[in-house]
Amino acid sequence: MKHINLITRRGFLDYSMRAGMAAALSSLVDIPLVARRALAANATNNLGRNGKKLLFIFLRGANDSLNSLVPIQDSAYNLANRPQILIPKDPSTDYSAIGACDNPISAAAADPTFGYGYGIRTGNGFAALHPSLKFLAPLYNSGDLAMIHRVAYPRQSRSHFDSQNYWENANPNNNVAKDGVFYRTIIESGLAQTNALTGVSIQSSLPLSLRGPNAAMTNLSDPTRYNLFGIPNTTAGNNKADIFLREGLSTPFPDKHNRELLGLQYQNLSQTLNIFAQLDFSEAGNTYTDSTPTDGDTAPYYLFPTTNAKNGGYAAHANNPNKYVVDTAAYGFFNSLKSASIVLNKTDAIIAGTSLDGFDTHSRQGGVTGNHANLQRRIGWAMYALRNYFSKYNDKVDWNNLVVITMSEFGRTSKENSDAGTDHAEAGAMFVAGGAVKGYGKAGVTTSVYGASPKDKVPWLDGQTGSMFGASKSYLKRAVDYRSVLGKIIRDHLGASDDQLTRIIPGYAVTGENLKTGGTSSKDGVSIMGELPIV
Amino acid sequence: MSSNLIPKFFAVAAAILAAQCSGLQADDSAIGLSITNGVKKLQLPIVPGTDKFRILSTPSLDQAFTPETSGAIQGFEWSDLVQSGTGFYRVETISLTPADILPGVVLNRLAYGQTPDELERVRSIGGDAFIQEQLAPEGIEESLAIDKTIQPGGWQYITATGIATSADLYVYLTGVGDIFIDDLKLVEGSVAEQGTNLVKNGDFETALSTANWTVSTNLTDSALDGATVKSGASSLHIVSTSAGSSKTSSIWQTVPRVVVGKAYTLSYWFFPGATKPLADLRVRLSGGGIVSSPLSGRTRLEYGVALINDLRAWHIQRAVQSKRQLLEVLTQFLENHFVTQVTKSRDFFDRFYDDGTITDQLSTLLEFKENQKWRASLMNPACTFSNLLTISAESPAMIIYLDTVDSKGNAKNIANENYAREVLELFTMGVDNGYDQADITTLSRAWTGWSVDVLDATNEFNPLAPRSTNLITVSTNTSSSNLFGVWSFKYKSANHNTNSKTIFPSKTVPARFGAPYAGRSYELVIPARTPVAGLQDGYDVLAHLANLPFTQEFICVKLCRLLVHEGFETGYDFTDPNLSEEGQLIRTCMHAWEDNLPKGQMRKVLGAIFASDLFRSQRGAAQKVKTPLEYTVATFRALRSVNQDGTSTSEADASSIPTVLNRMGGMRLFDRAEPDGFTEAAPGWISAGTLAERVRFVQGVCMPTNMTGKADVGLNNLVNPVGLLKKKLPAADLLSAEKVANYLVDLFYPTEGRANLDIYARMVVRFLNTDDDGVTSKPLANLTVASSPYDIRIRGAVAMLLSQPRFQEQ
Repeated sequence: MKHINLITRRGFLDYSMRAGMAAALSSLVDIPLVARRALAANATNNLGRNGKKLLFIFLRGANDSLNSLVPIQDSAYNLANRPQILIPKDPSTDYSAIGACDNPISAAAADPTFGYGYGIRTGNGFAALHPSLKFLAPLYNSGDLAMIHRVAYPRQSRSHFDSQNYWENANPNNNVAKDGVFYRTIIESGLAQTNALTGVSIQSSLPLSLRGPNAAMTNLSDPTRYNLFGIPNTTAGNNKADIFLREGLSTPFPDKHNRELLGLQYQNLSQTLNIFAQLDFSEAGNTYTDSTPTDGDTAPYYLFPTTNAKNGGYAAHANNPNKYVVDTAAYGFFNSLKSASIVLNKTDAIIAGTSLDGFDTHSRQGGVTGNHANLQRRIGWAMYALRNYFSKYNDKVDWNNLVVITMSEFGRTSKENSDAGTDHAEAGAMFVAGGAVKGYGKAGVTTSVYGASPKDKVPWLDGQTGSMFGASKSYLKRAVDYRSVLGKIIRDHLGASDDQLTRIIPGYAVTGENLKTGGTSSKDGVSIMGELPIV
Repeated sequence: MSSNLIPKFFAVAAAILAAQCSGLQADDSAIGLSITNGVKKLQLPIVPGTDKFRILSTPSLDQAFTPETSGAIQGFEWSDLVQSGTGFYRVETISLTPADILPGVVLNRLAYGQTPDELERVRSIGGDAFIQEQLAPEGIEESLAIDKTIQPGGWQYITATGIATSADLYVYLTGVGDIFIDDLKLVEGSVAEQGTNLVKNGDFETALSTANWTVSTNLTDSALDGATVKSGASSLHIVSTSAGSSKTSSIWQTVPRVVVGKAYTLSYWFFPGATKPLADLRVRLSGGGIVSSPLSGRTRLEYGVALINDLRAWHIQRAVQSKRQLLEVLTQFLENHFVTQVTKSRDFFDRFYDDGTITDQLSTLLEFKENQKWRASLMNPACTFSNLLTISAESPAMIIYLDTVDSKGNAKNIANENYAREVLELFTMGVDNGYDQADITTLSRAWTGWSVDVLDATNEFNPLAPRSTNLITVSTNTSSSNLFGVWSFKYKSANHNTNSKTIFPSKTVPARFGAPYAGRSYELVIPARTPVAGLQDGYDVLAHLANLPFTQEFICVKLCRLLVHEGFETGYDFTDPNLSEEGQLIRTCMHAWEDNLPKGQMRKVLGAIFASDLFRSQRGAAQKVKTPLEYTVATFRALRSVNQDGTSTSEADASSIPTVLNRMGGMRLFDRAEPDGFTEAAPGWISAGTLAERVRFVQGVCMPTNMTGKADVGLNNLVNPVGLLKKKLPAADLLSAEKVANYLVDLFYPTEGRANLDIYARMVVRFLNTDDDGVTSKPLANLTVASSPYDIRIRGAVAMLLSQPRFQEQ
């Protein structure tokens, strides 16, 4: 009968749970089958054990990447197509020049943080950054940033929910796969069986990228509230509540749809309470600052703006809102980003991340300023802050061993709609940062902007029938598969073998997809560039 | 004791059982037998719904099996001392029958969980009777205190009890307006007007002076009034020119002899003024110790002066209290399926109004109207999906939410695609289920012109009516903020794309749908129309989408995910002879939709689901995880027995719950940013962080009022589990840990089966017999029922059970 197998599986869970209770933080005894295979097949498993870590930021709602990494030299990037949201050219700048990225720091300490109102020349001869992304410039110029345009997948879905799922399960057009790409990375590493904390997200719910059936990844929405009460609420009473709660968790029950999930997540709760209790997530503990005076100002800024007083030069300049580095609605995101950073830095977790919401700009998107600009400021400052946090406060990982990526489900229409907004489209852009990135200026790298130049292996085509309108008259056509970006990072940064990668990203097992080498995709005949030398 | 030797003649055991009659479940798994230290043990099978195990044995297989008379079962293990002789064992699992579990199933699907009273009632009348009752909510009589509204005119008596956190007493209005107040009293304890009145000049018989009341500048028009009087010679006529909140914007005094931490009761008479909107009074002792707001949440909602947390609290309170439970479950389902977002409406109104309170009130009112329309529609026996889809499309909240409000398709304008996409993907057909991008682009033009504006109240439901010209202040200012009227659906013909439109060109229903659907053309041709006649475009589309087979499939899938389990998807091959049971149920639902006229009657579809074996069996029971809303409401309901006088053993402070729901995974009711609505699937809600919040919630709710941590989820969430036990158990049983444990375990997990709950019940017994340190033995029987230690012991046990994984399920 069907339930027999399930009972057997429950048996394993119950066992490991009891072991977990007893052993508190680590050293679980039982190893799920998936992991056993991974360990057996890879006696010298390097994945997740080479000191490298990954931090992800999911830009939910679909970032209008044409206004992030702007194809400013494309003749069709013009006022006719984007009348109210266009990022203008600086009349005094030659965008065809090759070299470093312009870095418009505030010249005088009191100048507005975002006083520069034009596209920032990236130096690849074609593309520019949204001026609100100005804090990416120092990262780029020190070789710590790659920017990749025209990223998508075959038969692009324009549904937020499906497309987010495909990005997170690394299985385009597969709604059946309910396990995530980072989950599989961690399973292949074998670490989920020895460490209570492996993959962590700080957001309202555990994202699909970290979900899977055989091990629990950890999600906290508010780390400052991660502890339990008891009745009575005394130390003794708390102990009594905990003892019996844990005892109840190890009770066997017949299998039902969600009992494994509940079992694993309760177990994770039980195992991680003590770990998080040792970390300081409080506002008072948010004392992290830049190592040098920031942005031409006289003093270093706070890295994680979680209050007005910690937001750029606001407090130092008599509460001047022009000196903010991010909008005041960004504090929740920076609290989460701070927590994710602390977790990566202070625990054995190898992957952590959060999400940044609000990118579904169907109306009143804004151009140089406005909604979309505010979101760009968050992205730019987040990357800048992470570099400084992991360089100055590094503990279990430093900036040179970290890669930070942004993901977003698709790009938006190249033509603006009647509401000064943009609708769902195809390819978008990814930002990849970290000391481990092989960016501009490192080892002969002349540009680390990819996918946004007529000189690309799959060239950007200029004009009204070009790349911006390459699909269905207003959708940016893909030149890079997001799986090639993730695959490159998971293998060459986190240490997966080629064999492991075929299980982490199934497309790597399909020769015709050409994810590694590039070529014509067997799925839809589109030319893609394959892996890029980003790490 | 026997020797340690293992007699080998015991080493054979078998469990072979044929299902002979209902109630017996066959299990062909081998049963583990072990013998250690003179004790033989049988490992018993773990099967859903096992109510009882029966152990049978026979000395030899040519003799009949007879029930074992010795030995004992603990959890999933039977043990006995080793006796002489050979033996064979057989185990029977006696399961709950579908009729046994149906009450538990229906109370967790058609309702927000069982209450002690309802579980008894439904077990008595049967699950099917409950289904029939709930399918016809118009036949269920209901008058809830939370629905009481106050009309302008006439004195109303108000009381409120709470704990003082300071001695300051404030009186103010939350906006512009006037009211009368008289005989304001504050006494110690929880009984109004019993004991010494502590308020100075609360009868308002002498003029206000700083010796008693301090009056802020926004209230200086207030004065004693001798015409509208409750008692004595005068009342206080409060006239407010702006919203109050603190000592700088209220009439206040520091009340002598109020002690922080003690309970006090406030009472007063209140006469609503004549201005519109109705002025909203607050009388408040301390920061939040006692807050009295004489206009009920429902009154504020009806009069458009409510804020979103008023709507949330009222909606949550209905889920806890209403007898029309299925109506509430479905209202929330529709609210979530046709999702709209209050902050998007507020951002929209920010364009027209400077006052944040007004934008909050207006955006809340749109949500409330929508919410009430779901209820009203579902009260109609013939309610169809088409009715519901139309309500959603015409709702100003939706028009704003998915950006049709400013969309233009005239001239060279590119129409906003947002609503066109989501109406197909999320509200009708399901993602990529029978449409493509070209259909979305074409469809987006059909909606152009669907907008909102301020219309005269009499024109609220006439989208062709002109904008109101009824000015609030006489001036040349005709902006929206200076118009009397109602924000309503308004068709702006100038924005409309007047071309002809062909949606789903040449498309036919795929073969997988089978008869009668397969092969049907579902092309929709909308002719070129004049700008004004173009309003019809949208209605043509709605009528067409409402009964497409794709829509039928997707909506039935969503209903089954809500009411059965999560494992339903679109895309079934309905012609497949091996179609899964889930697929078969969807097909049955679609036929209930298609074959009854008018098509798409919700009650027909629901009836098909409730009649299905998937719904009624163990495959439905406890197969889902509660959403945060379901979990919080079910917690209050599980302990809620209503007394004759209307009080109960479990009272939710619904105003505190929105914060709790946000902590449990961002479930901000009426404010979902993403148009897919909150998920029904467990992985979206269950993580270590959200489980910690769930455990903290039940612990906080179960705490007595004076315990540290109680405030975390709201001081006024009051449950009284000892009161419940006193009502439900004979007095003599209250000191029996076993009796108490069995009652609680059966109440909280009604479909699990007693045998499967044996370990839980034993755990509760040990909890009840253990001191607060969790280690020292201190039997319940030695406590006094009326004592605090007994109360704490019971509260602790209840909190422990409600924080277990099994109570996360439904």
